[in-house]
Amino acid sequence: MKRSLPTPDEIIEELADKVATHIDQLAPVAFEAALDELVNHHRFLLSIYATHLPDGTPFSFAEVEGAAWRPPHLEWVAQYRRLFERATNHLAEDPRFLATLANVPTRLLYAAGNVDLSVAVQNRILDLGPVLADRLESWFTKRTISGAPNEKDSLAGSDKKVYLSALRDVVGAWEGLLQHARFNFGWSSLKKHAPEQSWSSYQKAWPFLWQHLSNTAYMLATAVWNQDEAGAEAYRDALLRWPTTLHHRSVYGHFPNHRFLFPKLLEASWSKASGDAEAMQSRFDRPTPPDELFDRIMWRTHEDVVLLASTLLICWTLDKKLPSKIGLRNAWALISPTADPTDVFVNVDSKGPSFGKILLDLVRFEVAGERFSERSYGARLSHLVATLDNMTERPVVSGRVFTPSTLSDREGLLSASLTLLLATIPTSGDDGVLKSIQKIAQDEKLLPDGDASLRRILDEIGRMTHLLSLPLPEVDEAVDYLRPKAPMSDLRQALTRVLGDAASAIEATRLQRLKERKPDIKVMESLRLTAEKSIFDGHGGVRYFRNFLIAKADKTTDDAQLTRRLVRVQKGELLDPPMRPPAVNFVEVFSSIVKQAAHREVWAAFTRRPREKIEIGYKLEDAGFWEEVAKLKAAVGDNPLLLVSQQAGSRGAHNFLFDDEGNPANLSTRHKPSQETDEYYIVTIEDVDIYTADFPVGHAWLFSSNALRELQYALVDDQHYLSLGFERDDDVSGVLKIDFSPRPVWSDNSIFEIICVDPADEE
Amino acid sequence: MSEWKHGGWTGSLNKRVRHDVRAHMRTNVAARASRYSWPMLAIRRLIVERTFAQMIIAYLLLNLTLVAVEYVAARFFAPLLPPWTESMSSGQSPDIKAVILDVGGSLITADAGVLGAISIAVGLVTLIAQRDQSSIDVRVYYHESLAFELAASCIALLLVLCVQLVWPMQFALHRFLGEGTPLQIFKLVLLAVHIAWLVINFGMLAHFVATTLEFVQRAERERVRQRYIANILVPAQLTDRLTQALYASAGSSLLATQRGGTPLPDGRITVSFGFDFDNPENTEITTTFDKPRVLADVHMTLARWALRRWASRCEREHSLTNQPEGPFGRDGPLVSFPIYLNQPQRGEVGWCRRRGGVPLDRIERTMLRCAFRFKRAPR
Repeated sequence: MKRSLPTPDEIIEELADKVATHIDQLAPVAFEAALDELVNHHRFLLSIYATHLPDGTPFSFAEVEGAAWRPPHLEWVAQYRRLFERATNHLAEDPRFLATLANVPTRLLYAAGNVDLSVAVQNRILDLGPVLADRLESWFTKRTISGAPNEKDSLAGSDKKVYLSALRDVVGAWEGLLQHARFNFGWSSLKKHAPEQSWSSYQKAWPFLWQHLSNTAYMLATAVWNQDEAGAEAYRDALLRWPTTLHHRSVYGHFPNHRFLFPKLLEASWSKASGDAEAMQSRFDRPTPPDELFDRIMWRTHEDVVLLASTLLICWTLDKKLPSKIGLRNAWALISPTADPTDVFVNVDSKGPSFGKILLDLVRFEVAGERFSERSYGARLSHLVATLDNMTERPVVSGRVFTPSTLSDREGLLSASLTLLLATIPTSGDDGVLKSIQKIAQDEKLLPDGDASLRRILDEIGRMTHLLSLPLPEVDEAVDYLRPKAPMSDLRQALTRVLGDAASAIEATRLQRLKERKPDIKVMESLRLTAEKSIFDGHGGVRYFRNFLIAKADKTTDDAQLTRRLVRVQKGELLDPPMRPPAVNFVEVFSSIVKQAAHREVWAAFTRRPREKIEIGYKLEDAGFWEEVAKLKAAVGDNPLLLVSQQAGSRGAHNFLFDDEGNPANLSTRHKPSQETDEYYIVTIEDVDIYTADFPVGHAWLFSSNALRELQYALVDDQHYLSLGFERDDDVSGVLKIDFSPRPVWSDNSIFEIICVDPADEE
Repeated sequence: MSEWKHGGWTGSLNKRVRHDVRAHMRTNVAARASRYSWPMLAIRRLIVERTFAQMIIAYLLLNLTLVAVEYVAARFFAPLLPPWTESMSSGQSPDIKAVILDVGGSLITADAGVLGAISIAVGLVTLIAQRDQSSIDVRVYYHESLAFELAASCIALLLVLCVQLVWPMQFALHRFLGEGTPLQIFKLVLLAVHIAWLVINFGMLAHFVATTLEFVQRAERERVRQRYIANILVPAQLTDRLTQALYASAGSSLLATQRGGTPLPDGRITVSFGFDFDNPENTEITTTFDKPRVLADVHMTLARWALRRWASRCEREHSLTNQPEGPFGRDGPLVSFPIYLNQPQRGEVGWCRRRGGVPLDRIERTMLRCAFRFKRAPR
């Protein structure tokens, strides 16, 4: 009895239909029952598709798309969007529907029993929070009075009351989701477990916590974007209180260098993570237990998200995306948390907007890793910026190719960062920035990428300094709003000075370090090996000659050693880790130089061999020329090769390859595939390969490409056929000295130097 | 996700997916908790997975077998047949023939009653479902209550009972062939089969009634739905989606693994399944399908052998030419199979294409033909 069977998507859609119907009927009891049925069904689907990958990572078969457009778990979650819409539509009549629906993510995530949900599934469920916030904002904007921007937040009395109540429900449910984390991930019982087990539990929680934190920032951004003062206040409060809501430990001891604690530590095992954390502390500090280390990482992550959200809101104001100053107000409120005596987390750094803290936190962003590299924390922060800014994308036609108008990384926030710094910079002093920067620069090991982190900080300071030198009326206006009547030129000067001092401090420390270091032996050996390999591989860079052997030979007293020098090589590129970004294709260029040197030496040796001069009264295209060449071919030997001037070569290429009438003598021509020749090859005429060289017009050489029988390289020291040394010019650059000893072995075939009596040199 | 070894020695895609799905259903706690009971599994195997025609044909075969046995037994083993089964129209004991006829009539009544009951129940549930806009749920209910299967089984039994009122095959044996025995033993055997069939129908009716009553209660309804998903839907859907996903992603891993510790040429050589690259240079394998056919399975071990062989030949060719700037110019060699699983194909279909590299040789083409299995497209 085979029939088309209902799919899980159809079943869940029908269950959602029933919930929607009961919302429309304003029947709360039936609604609750229908929602229970829907959520239970959804949870069952999540459970039955849940599995683990061989490495133990949770995975869901509902992530497998198969031939469908979207994976099933996305289809299931999408059903709640319309329920949220229905519930918000009936918000004024009965807010209970929305309040109940706001708890759906909690019910889906925590009531699924012991099922380990995959990160993708878990994140999509957490995305229901922003979806609900979006629906609520949609309801808000439909009911606000249009007209003057400052009136946008005004709702009718009863609507305002209902809306504020709904906001409390939504934020409460969202925070409840976070509060459940400690039970869901078993933190309450971790005291009894070994540190490795505790750490593993925190590692498991990280994707959830990051998604919840970034979604909280999204909810704030969406309220600001819709100029919803009440919503912005509620979500801002949720974002600021986020560590307190998570709150599984509140006692902190001294931990120096906490600014360099990154979530990347959570990818490492406990032994590695604790070792790294210990390296940041002094030897008198007590070892940090897993819960405290995790708390500190989460606290720093929270600080990052708050600062990013703040700069983004300023950026919207600077770019005139927001008609009012709501962005500036909220950005300022984010970085000026009011001291709350019960809030141990906020108290840690609750000194108000501090220039030093903001600048050092911006520096931390640069230390966090490349914006472009995958899986780095820096890339994660950039992705958050792109996600938040994406809501400001202009309307586009679906399917049409368009250039995004929104930010794709943190780079676009530079003006906003400057605004914050200008608005907070003290009129005198530098708020301890120079001292902190010097400390950072001196202890390279603290930084995740060592000197590369310092280079990124310098780049960022350079960009800021450059931007400060430009007229920025939007920045001036924003700073004036945040810091009324402050003299802009003084602020700019002060900031330029502080940034300049910071850059100088870093440069000085780096230069000192560079002076002290010698080129790394491994890097030099790697370069040497590459160069040595290049002269033994294939034709070893030797042109024109084919079918010869490249052999290794012992050192003799007759061997002339060839020395080549590569000047102005930066020492920083020869260190490990490098203190200067390696030049593009440095290794390839280096190999190419060595190969060219080998070719020149072989060719020079060839030119010293005896040759016979022949005068021919024809041009290359004439049949007479080839009749003369045919007479010489036998003496030349196999695979004859004619080396002509570049003018004759280009004329030959034009006549024999591209012009139908360029071969009146009807000579046999063909073009060999590129694998058998090189870039100086033109064409093969009458079985003679034509190549070009830097010859005078009217001169050509005829010889066999087999003339070189063997190319030997003699030892230049006890064990190497190519040696490499570095000679210092100054403290930062020098000369790479390459020594090798080529020894060509020739056949006795004749070589002819042909002189055309009447060369066609008009080219 | 297991390896291709789970697809047997040829690395059958379907076999591997079946293994993965079975392993998942065996270990998943939710799936195990919602598994069908063994009587239900037996009924499903016996009745549910059969069509109406299959039931009738099965009965016809049984009947024919019994007629043949009667023919042989009457001719060669007549003394061994039980004499008490002889029909006696005048006597004290009841006539067996009449009893069989009476019981047959009673069975018809009972079976018709079952059929009537389920018809009314199905009609009512459908009406209620229409009112509640629960068409999907009702389909689940139909499936889980075995309504269609029960109706089909009842109609098939009714048909059999009605026809067997006159025992047409036994009549033909006795009347036209002059064979058989007056003993009623074979009719009694068939009567026992009819009764057993009716008992199964009653069992299914009990399940139907229980499911119907369960379906109006929310918690029970959820359980019915979960049983349906765990036993029917997930295995079918997961098999389909995993097959598609593994087929589409097989190209990236097929050459990347190592054999005997030697890294195989990867990265520069591309193999793609189910993706049509624009403007391929060569069509390596073309098949003409007179009737619509679908790609039903791919034996990846065979395909991998052929493609590795081809990749090694490409590498060898490259080392001979010794081109320094890159082995294959801008793009590396590519073999693509621009054909989708379970999509009907008709006419001339070039399903193996190549761009760059060396042409496939006869052995490789033959192996690929063996690896890609086509079957007739379902109607």
